[in-house]
Amino acid sequence: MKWQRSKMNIGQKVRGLVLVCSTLTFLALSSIGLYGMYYNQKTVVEQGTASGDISADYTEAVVKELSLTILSTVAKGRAAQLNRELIINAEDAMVLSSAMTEILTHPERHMERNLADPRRDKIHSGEVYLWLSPSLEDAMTPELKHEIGIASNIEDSLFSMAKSYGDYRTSCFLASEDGYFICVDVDPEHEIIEGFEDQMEGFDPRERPWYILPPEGEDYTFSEIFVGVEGFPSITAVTPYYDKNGFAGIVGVDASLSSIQKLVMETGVGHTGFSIALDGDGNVVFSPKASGALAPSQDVDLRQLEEENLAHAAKEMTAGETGVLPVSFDGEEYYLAYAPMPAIGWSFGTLIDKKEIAEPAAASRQVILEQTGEFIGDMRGNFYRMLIVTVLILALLFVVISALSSRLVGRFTKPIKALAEGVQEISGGNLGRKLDIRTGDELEHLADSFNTMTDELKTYMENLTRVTVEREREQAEMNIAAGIQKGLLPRSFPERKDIALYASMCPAKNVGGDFYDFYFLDEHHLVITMADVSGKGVGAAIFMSRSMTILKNLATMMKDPDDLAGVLFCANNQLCHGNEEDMFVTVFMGMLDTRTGEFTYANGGHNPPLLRRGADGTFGYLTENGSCMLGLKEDVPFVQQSMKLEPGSMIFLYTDGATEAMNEKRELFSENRLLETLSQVPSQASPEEVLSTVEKAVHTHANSAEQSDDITMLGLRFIGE
Amino acid sequence: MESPDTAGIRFDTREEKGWTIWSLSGSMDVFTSPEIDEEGQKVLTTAEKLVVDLANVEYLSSAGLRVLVRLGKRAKKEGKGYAIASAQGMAACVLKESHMNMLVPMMDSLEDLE
Repeated sequence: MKWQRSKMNIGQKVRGLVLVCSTLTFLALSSIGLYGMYYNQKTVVEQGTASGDISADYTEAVVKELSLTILSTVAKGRAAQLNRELIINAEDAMVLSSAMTEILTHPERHMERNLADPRRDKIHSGEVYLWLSPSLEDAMTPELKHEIGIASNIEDSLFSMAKSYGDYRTSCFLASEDGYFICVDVDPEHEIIEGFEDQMEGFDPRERPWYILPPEGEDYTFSEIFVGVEGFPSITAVTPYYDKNGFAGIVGVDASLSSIQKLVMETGVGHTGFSIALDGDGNVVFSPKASGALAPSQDVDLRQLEEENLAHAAKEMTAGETGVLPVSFDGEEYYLAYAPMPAIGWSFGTLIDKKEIAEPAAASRQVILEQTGEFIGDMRGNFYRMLIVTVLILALLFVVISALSSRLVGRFTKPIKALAEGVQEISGGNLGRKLDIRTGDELEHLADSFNTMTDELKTYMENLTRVTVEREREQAEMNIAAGIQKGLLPRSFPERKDIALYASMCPAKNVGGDFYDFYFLDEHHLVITMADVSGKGVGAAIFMSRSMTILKNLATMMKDPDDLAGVLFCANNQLCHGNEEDMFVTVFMGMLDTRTGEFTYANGGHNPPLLRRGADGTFGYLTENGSCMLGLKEDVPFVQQSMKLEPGSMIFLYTDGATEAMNEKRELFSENRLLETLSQVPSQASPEEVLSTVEKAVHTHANSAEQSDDITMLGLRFIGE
Repeated sequence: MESPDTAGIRFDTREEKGWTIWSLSGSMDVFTSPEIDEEGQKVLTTAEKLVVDLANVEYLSSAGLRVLVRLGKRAKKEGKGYAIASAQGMAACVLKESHMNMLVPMMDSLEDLE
């Protein structure tokens, strides 16, 4: 089926165009906007997700780092604190050592003293007492007794020292190499120190585990942990003292490990945190755990455990390193922060369950991801809201533009409609209709152009009408004239043995005025006439018929048979009468005596005819003493001439329509060409054949050029009897 | 009514020796005759003695002859001088054959003006 273009008027097309353009524009703009929003939303979602992940990761890392830093700080702080306390004990021991060395190296400065004896006296907390090892019961000498009395002057220093320990359970003492033992015990829980009987049974200070010398180059050392005579696990800072003879004994200051134990037990980060104290052999000394890998034990070396990371951590700790390591034991995972206590070669470790660190980090991560998720959700929501709003606006815009464009298009197309209606009316023939469009734009210009065109068209139509009427009138005249001319010319040629005659008239389109005539005055006198009336139309035709009639009448009424000059004279005078239009006629008139060949002729301003004398002669122009044309001036004299024609002679009459026929180059056929054409005609050719030859020659010359004048010819051949 | 084949006609008027010399150039045929007649009548109205200079007329038809005769008759009626001068070639031949000299004074050249 052939596609057919829908027929729409300009308004509908413009409205459609406006709608399409505005919709496309809005779609393009909103698409760009929506794409931008979608792209932004997409980017924000991606970036938000990434940021959330990054933030969560970062937060998680920071929380973990922070937790581990805290853990490490706690470990280092506690280790330093405990180490410091132990060193204080050692320093106290060194103070006592100096005091004792001063007493023993300067005995003369001191008086003997008597100290309390646990075997005899009740010993109060903070009271200095003297214990003699059982070996001295038999070996006591006065010098030794004196020395003991002098050495007992350390009582003040011991008392002060013990007092400075305040609420801590401790013992400060001096163990002589001679076997005596000066000591002060501090027990914040008891006023009287009890249990001497059991605890001091067979007590020889020189046999105690703490009776040791510091390593070479060191001022002090610590004993192994031991359970003191008072029943508490202790550790003792020891340092030697001297008399005049050199080494005299060991000063010791007990540090009750209960305070260390308490600190270890109390130290824990978070809910799951706890601490341990590890000695130099990898044994857990203190731990709140009652069972498991980290329960206190003197038999388990953590470095030997199967849990590799815990064993590794234990190695680090016993090596005196500081750090934080993940460890796993008993099916749980912990972070372990550790720091050394160099004084006693221990390490303080504090642990926290990994989950406790991971949880807040995960919580932070969750919060961040939730917030990011909410933000992304908001972004998506905004995008879809904007999408809906865009669609709604598009619909609204469509409605508004439709309404507005209808009105606007109506306004724009109103002048076009007016123009179309006006033009239609004009095309309907009302050329008086004026288009009045004042829009100030191309339409007004178009309307003005239409008005101008209409005016010109009107003028043209009027002119055309006038010219057409004129032309029709002229054509009617021409037709009448042609009718008159044609009707007058004789068409019946004489058929005789003594002459042959033929004539033709080829009328031009607009001109009628040529005529030929021939008639016998009697049996032997033939009159031939060739004439050309000036002018055209009916006037010329009437003048022609007048001329023809006058000439024929006068010829037939001639008194003298050959008075042709008189005929022309009289005809001229008659034609001059009433010739207001100054028409005239050129006339050649001749009369042939068909018996003798006598040819008489007279010329009134007409082209000279051509004559061939005899059948063998050549054509030549007939020289004559002619006169002027007829109808212009009265009483003009005419002359006639006579000549005798031989049989076979031919006379050729013509009008200037033949010789003055022009071709496209405006070249005349000319008298020379006429002569040339006739010269080539065979001598036996009939007049009809001669005329036909000439007519063909003229038409060949004129080619396509329009014939401007009548071409009239007459040929007369004298045959004789 | 203009023919496409016509060569047209041009006019020039000047005064010399008391004569108004009206020079024609082109063709005096059935198509140009109305224009020549109209122009000639105007020129004759202002001229005391009119000579029609045919030196540049290449073609002269019977319609052209009629214009020349009409001007001559009017000049004679109004007592004005009138002559035809300087006809050449075909125009001279036509004038001669029609014996216009019997109707209108003719001169071979403008030098013959008196």
